[in-house]
Amino acid sequence: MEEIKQTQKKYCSQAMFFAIAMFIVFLLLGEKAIGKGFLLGTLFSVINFVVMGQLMPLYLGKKTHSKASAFALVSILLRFAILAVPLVISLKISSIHFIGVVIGLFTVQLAILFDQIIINRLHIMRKA
Amino acid sequence: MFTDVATIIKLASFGGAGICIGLGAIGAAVGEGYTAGMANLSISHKPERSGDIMKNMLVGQAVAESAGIFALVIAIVLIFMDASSTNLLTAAALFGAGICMGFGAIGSGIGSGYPGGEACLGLSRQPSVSNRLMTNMLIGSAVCQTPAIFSMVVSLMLIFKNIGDLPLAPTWAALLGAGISTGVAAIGSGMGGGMTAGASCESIARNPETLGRVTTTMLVGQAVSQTPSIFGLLVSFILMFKTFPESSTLSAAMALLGAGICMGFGGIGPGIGNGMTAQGAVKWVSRNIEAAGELMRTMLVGQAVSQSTAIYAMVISLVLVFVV
Repeated sequence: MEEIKQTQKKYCSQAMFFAIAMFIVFLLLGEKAIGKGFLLGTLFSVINFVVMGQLMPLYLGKKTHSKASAFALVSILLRFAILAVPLVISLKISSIHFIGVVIGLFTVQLAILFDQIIINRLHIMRKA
Repeated sequence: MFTDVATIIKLASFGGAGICIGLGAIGAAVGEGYTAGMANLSISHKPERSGDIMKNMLVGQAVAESAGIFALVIAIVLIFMDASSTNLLTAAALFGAGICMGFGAIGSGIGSGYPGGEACLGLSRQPSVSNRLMTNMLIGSAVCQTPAIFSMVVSLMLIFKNIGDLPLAPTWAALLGAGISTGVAAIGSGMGGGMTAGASCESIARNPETLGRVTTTMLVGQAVSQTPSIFGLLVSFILMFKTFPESSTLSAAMALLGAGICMGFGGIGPGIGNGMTAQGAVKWVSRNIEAAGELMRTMLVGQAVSQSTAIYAMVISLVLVFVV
C-alpha cells in the first residue's frame, strides 16, 4: 500500500500545484469563473483518485475478471457520484464556470500523462 | 399525459442521461475490472512486486475511466440544462446526445482496460522495464479515448445545436441517427485500439529491445482501427448539418434513422477486426524484429480488407441520406 500512497501523493500534489497555477493565470486574465471551476474540478479529481486507491485492495481480493468488473462497476458509480458534485455546483452557481470544472476533472489524468510521457523522457534524455 | 412539449423534452433529456451514464459506467467498469483481474494474476505470480503492480493498476485505471467521465459530464448537462425550447426536435437531439455518449464510452472504457491489464502482467514478467511499460500503457490508453472524444463532440453539438425552424419530420430521425452513428461505431474502434495497445504492452515485456518498432506498429494499428469511428463521425455530421425538406411520409424519416443505424452497427465489426489484425502484428514484431517491415505491410493490407465492410456501411448510409 505504501507505493499506492506515494503514487497518489505525487500525482495529487502535481495536479493541485498545476490547478493553483492555472487559477492564478485565469485570475490575471480576468477569467475568475473559469479559474474557480478549474480549481474545483481538480479538487474533486484528486478526491476521486484518492478514493480509487482506497478501494483498490478490495478489487484485488476478487478472483475472477467478472467479479472484479462487478466490483469496479459499484466503485465507479460511487466515484461518479462524487465527480457529479462539482458539475452540478457549477450549473447552479454562475460564478463557477462549467467548462473550467470539466477540464479540472481531468487534471490528475493530465498530470499522469505529463509526468510519464514528458518528464520521464526528459530524465532519460538527460541520462543519455 | 405526454402531449406537453416541455414534458416530452424533459423525458428525452432524462432518458438520454440515464442511457448515457448507464452505458458509460459499464464500459469503464469492464475495462477497470479487466485490469484488476490481470493485476491479481500478476501478484499471484510475483507477490514481491505487488507494490509496483498496484501502482501500475491505479494509474492504468485512472486513465481508463476518462471515457466514463465524459459520459458523466454529458449526463449532468442533460439533466440540469435549461431546455426552454418549445420545439419537439430538441427532444430528439437530447435523446440522440445521450445515446451517442453512452454507446461511445463503452468501447473506449473496455479498450483502455487491456493495456492496463497487460502492463500489470508484463511487470511481473519483466520488472526492469516498468517505466517503459507504463509509458506505453498510458500512450495506448490515451489513444483509446479518441472514439469517446468523437462521441462527446457529437453529443455536445446535438445538445447545443440551433434547431431554428427546421421541419420536425424527417429532422427528428436525422438527429437520432446522428447520435447512433458515432456512438455505436465508436464501440468497435475503442475496443480495437485497446486490443492493439494491450498487445504492445505484452510485447515490450517479452522483448524490451523492440520497444521502438512495437510502439510505432501499435500507433499505426490504432490509427487505422479508429477509421470506422471516423466514418461514423462523418455520417453524423451529414445528418446534423444537411437540411432535409419537410416530409410527412414515414419512409423519409426511416431512411435517415436507418443511415445512422447502418453506419453505427456497420462500424463495430471492422473496428474490432482492425484491432485484432494490429494485435497480431504487434505481438509478432517483438518476436521477430527483422520482419517488422513485412509485418507492418501485412497488417495494413489486412486492415484495409477488414475495413471494407465499414465502407459498405458508409456507402449504404450515404445512399439512404442522399438517394432515398
